[in-house]
Amino acid sequence: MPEIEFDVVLDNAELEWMRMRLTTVRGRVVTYTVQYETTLDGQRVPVVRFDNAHGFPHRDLLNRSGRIIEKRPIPGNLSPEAALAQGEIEIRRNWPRYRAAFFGD
Amino acid sequence: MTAQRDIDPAEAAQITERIGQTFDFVRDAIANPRMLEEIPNGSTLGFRDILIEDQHVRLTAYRPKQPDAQWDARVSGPVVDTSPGQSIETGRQLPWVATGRYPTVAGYETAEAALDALEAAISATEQTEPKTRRAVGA
Repeated sequence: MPEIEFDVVLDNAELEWMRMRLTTVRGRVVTYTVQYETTLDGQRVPVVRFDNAHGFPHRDLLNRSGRIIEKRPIPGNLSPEAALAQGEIEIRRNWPRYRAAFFGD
Repeated sequence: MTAQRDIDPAEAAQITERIGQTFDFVRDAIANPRMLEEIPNGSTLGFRDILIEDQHVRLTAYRPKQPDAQWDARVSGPVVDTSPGQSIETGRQLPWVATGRYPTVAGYETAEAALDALEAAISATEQTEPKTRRAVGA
């Protein structure tokens, strides 16, 4: 089962990051984890995570202690690829809001 | 308590663009698994999209996970926007696509330096100056 895993630096100061991990079978996404991270006290920390662990696609919002403060299923009984695409839409649109909530909680 | 670092609108736009490029790269990698034979799993990536003769081309810089690794860069494909709600862009096929021999450079201290070197190498190969950068990565 091919696995794709990498980190992406999002800003020139290297303080904002994306971490992605996927497994595929015959060119189809089977499992995925997409995480937007910021930097807190010099450490990369997750702000929001989209994944389909535990058998259902969902979004986790995290606090500065790394604890999940909200777990929200992605509705619609979507395939992994469709759920990943939904995660893309949400993260592109909402990352500033997730980040503000992370620092403001 | 650590204060939130301010991100200005230009930087926010850049971050949003790079998030999109990240997902585009995933689609490219799934469609073309051979790309992952050159870009090791676990690498840190940076992206830049350029325009060559009306064709959007994605440059990807990558630094493998091992300590002291340097940045290499390669063309990771024509930019095909398959993000949700977007139509697929078609364009003239660049010569490296047909041959599968994508330009590469290796051994740079920063992603930006690797991407600059790759862009220069492409320019020399094509004898055409890349005209427009849509976005600058890393």
